[in-house]
Amino acid sequence: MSRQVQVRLETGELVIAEVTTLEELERWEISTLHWLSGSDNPVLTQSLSPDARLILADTALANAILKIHPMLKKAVKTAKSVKTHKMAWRYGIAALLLTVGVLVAVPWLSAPLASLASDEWRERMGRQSAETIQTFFGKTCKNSEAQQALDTLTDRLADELPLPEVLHVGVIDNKMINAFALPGGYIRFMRGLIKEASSAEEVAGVLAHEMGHVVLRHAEEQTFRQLGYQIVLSTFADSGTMTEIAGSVGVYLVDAAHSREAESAADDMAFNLLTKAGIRRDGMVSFFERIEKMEGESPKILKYLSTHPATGERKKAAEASSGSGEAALSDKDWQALKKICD
Amino acid sequence: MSDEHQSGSSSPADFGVSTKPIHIVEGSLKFHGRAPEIIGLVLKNLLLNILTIGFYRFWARTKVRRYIWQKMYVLGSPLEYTGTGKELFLGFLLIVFVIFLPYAVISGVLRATGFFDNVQTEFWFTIGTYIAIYYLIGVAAYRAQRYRLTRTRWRSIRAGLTGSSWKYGLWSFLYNLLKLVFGLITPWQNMHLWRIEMQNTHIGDKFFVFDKNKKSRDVLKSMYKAWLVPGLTTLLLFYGPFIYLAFELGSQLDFNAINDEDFNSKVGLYFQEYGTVLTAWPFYLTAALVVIILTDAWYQLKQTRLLLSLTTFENIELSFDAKLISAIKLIAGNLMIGVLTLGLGIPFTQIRNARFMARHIHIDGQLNLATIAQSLSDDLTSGEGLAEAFDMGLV
Repeated sequence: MSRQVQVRLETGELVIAEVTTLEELERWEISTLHWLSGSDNPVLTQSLSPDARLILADTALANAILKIHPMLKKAVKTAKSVKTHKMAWRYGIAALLLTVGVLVAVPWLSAPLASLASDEWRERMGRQSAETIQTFFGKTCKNSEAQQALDTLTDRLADELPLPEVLHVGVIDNKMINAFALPGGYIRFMRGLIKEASSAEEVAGVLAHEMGHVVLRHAEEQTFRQLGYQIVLSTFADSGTMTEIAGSVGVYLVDAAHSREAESAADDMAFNLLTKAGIRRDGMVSFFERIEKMEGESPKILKYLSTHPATGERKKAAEASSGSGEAALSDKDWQALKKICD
Repeated sequence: MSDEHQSGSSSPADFGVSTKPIHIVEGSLKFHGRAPEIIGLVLKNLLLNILTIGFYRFWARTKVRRYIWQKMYVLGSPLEYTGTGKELFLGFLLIVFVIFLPYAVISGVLRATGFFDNVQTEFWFTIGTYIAIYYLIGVAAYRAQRYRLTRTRWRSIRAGLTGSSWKYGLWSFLYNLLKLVFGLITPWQNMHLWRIEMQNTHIGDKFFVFDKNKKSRDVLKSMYKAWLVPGLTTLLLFYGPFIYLAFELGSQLDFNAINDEDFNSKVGLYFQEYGTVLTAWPFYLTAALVVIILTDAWYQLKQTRLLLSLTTFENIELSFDAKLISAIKLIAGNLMIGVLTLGLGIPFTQIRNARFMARHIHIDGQLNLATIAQSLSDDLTSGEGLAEAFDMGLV
């Protein structure tokens, strides 16, 4: 209930009294006071009666209280804001430094963290991600003859690599044309890619590319990078507004640049792998060609949004070092692999 | 019962000048906060949140809110935010132990026992999960609103939100479902949900009143008229081209004497002929989307204006006067800040939002403080829980 009172200052105490009768209601010790807010009609509260608020209408009295309570003075000082001009500059510079700092620090920290991660942890992460992917995109195809063919190809390429982990390569029953590398040596193809590929060499090219990701620990690095951005974003997320989505979009655009770098690095690695294993590399080129045809001429802006470097550029890079070599799989094995999800 | 005091000076005679009793207050909504003031807070929050790998976020959020609340002046007195980081953290733990862990255990057990071997059972389980989540989003929004209101004080008087969040969640779920097939429900839905929320919102022991003068029918009519703008625009821009295409194709084809092959080749020819039109399609869609969003924003403002005009608290009437251009500036500015700062600027956008609210919501009338007593209900002990889980909240 709200009421009007009379307040006077006595040695170290505020005496609160009824306005008309002057009957004393309460005594608040200055040291127990808290300055809640405001500088014109300041609001005071006291630790012993947390539900009560004293709104001071008298500035002279407020100033008198301030003089004998240094803590309150400090509270008021922070409440009274500093000159806007000066602060606006500080605000802009701080925001810029913060953003740049995050942009630099997060990727810079995620690479060493990824190489420090234990093999058990990476294996567990990869297994869990593979399971999640199953629930969203479809089951892993279980044709044993085809799986054997795929493993043969994997072993042939993996022989050239100093990998601590066992590679787990599988095909997901989904019509998308895609493949990706998860942490801990888990590689997943979508059925669509196997169906779309016109030769085993094309599949071998993609597999070598994904193995490049595995060797370079790209999935682990990305996990740490995204975790870092997420921690930063979580500091400021409040009510799930559009602005938060905009923040994630900003993060995505920045991260896409890192992904493009990673894709190029994996391409280089794939070429070396195919060369060492003595497998024809033109499959990789023809596959990029086909993807390009399907994508058509996409507007330039999409280039920046895509996490994969524009296929045209990739193809050019691939053609430069294309050459002769053996077939990736025997015809029998290739025919078996194509039927992996049937 | 709160013990609130309005102090005078040392001499009671000073009050003799004023003809108005001191317990009558009037004024408006004012926001005194400024973005530069919280740079220090933002930096500290970021640092601590990184050091605690994200667990400080509950405390960070609380501190920003405390700042924004205390800079918002209602009828001359500031708001107070009394929520704590600990409460938000407990709410988060609650959700982890009551919803996430049980869900993980149940689905794990079902998988292990071979329940999911049948693709269909897994499909229905997933659908069921989505439905539950969709329902819980409405529940969470209501609970988050309740938490924030019970943690809001004005002149020591606590606000609050009564009513069942489960019921509110059910209404909002059913409406959203209905909206998928029957978009026309939108104005009705928004008015009904607003009514539920307002009639349950209280400051002290007094509740907000919706539709005091029984004008909601007329207002709903106005809402429907306004809704025709985004409604028809969407229909025209989005479905229009498809309808046109269907008619065009239909007139060229003889449906009585046609086989699949014929049909496909004719359609193919048609598309070849209009190839340039098709390349322009993405651009058309983008432009159409922008127009639709703008008309919808216009409707949202109109709706807020109408609904607030029906909302009263004691003798206080509310009104809203934001124009489309200022709303666009606000939203576009916030989105820019969000993208360019990778989300770091969100506290500043919160300040922009508060300033926008204070500038465009008007409070008219006098409030007699003598009639408002402290509310006794303060039942919530843990923070937004559900809302934290879905990372969403207020309004």
